[in-house]
Amino acid sequence: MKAKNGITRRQFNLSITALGGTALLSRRVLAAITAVGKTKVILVRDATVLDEKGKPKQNVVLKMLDDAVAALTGKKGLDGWKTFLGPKDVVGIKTNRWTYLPTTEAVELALKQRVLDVGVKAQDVAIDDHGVLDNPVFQRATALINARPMRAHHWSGVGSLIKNYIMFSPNPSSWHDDSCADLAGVWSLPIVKGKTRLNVLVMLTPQFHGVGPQNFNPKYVWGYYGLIIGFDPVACDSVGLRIIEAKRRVFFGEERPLAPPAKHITLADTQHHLGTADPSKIEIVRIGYDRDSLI
Amino acid sequence: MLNAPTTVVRSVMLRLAAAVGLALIPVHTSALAADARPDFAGKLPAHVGEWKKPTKPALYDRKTLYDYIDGGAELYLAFGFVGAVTFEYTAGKDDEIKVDIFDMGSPRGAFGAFAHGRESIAAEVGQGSEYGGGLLTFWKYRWFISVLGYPETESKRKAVYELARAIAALISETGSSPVILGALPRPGLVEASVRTFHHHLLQNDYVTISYENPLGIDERTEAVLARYVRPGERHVLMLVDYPTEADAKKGQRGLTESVLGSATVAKKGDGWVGVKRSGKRLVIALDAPSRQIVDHVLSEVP
Repeated sequence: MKAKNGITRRQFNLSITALGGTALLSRRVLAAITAVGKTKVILVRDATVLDEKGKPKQNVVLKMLDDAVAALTGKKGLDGWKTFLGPKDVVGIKTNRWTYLPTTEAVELALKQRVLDVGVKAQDVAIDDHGVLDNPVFQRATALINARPMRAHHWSGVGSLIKNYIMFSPNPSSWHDDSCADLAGVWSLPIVKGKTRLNVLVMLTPQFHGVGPQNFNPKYVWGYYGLIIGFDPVACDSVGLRIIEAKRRVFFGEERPLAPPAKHITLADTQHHLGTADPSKIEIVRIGYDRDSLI
Repeated sequence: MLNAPTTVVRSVMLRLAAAVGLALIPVHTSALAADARPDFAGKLPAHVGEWKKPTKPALYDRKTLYDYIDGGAELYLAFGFVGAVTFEYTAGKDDEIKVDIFDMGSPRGAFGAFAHGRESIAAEVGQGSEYGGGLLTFWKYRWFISVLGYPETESKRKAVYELARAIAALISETGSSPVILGALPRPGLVEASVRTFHHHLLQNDYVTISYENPLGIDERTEAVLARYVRPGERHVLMLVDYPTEADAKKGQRGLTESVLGSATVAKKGDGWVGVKRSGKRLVIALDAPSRQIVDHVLSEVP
């Protein structure tokens, strides 16, 4: 059934499921769903974001985040951030501290800066990865920000925003069956459900292929200089995955599917109704550097 | 380090197993797993260049591998992982060389783990190796080894090779490559593309066949994927050896019914796919440019 603005009831419900369900969230949903009923994902890139050692510059990251949030919400500066965060929120920034390709301190601190700027008290914001279940801020969190890099992964195809919440499970390895097919189920755990306010898929130096026990080889990491930002984690992952797949095609000179495939992203949509994976239902808003975007 | 039964004992155990007709794979795996282990902790060099060996290694088994490479453990478990000895040679904060020595239980597992994901082929260390960007991987006998020096520097690269060669020297035995590799036709074979596996999730390395397991690939089957590049065409070949003809027939039926629309040759995506059975073996041509190429590829494997 079509709504007046062209959004189907299912699309609206999917986004509500991904985001939560409060009145505040529904305004965000409407802002992030385009007039043609597509889920909006922001791809922001800046070729100057990395320093000479390949580390991201926090001031450039901050600007990229601000630009992306403005495009996502339709409001500039802090007003954009205030559409999904308020001073009374208790905010957990779920990061990823994998040794070789972390979320990076620059991204973590830039996000924390904006959370504080919105008026959240310093004692009400925390950054954590493996310790989220024991972290008192995460335990009482009213809002989560999900930030991690995308990389080829041994068993789930890619490490994704969806997968980043696996540490909220007391038994993470219990989600590994069938190449992590049902990872989106983690998002229904009470500590998580309905709390995610923003997703930031870090594509500054993504990894498109993995090998060896550490699943890391710098040969397969490249400077993409991007962040993918949205309210819908599945849509963000879907866009990131297409970039990874495109890079594999370019690098290997032929079609080279991820092995195992990243089917948890599709199933997050079709089975778990966490968000939108179908590229035809996603609108990518591009900001900044646009060479070799691969999408 | 643990030193269990000698090579002679292992040999006797294998012969006994064969004599009484026990299933080959489990016996092979368990017998080898009980084999003598090189004393990696004691005999690896205390220093390599400026990098110093830790006082003791970290050890992992099938239950604790998640603690080390959570999320990556399944891949190695699928190849028969038994245990790991890991070291971090350090030369100060954030300056380390990571050494992972994985006991895969058999040469079958070690080769499979090594071949998964590799993009080049060399024999600089062990029975097959690959180096790039600071990462050296190789296999020898039942061991799969990774030595990672990142970020890569010239001195670290030398240290990585020195450590890898020291590990290889401590492994006295060599293992046979999986027998199924011998059935791959040679013309046009891209050697570095060869992948062996025993889990259906690894069947899609080059072409997405299915997210399910229509071929019935499991620990009892031997499967190999390889890419071929020939003048004017390229394709992928997959062979699957089953324990029995009945299993092979079932696998063929699964593929034809769920993937090929009940045909033996069909177009799937941009390429053609075809399958034939030869006794206990399925021969599957993938991503071929035409039906004629499929027929030719299938005819090359007896």
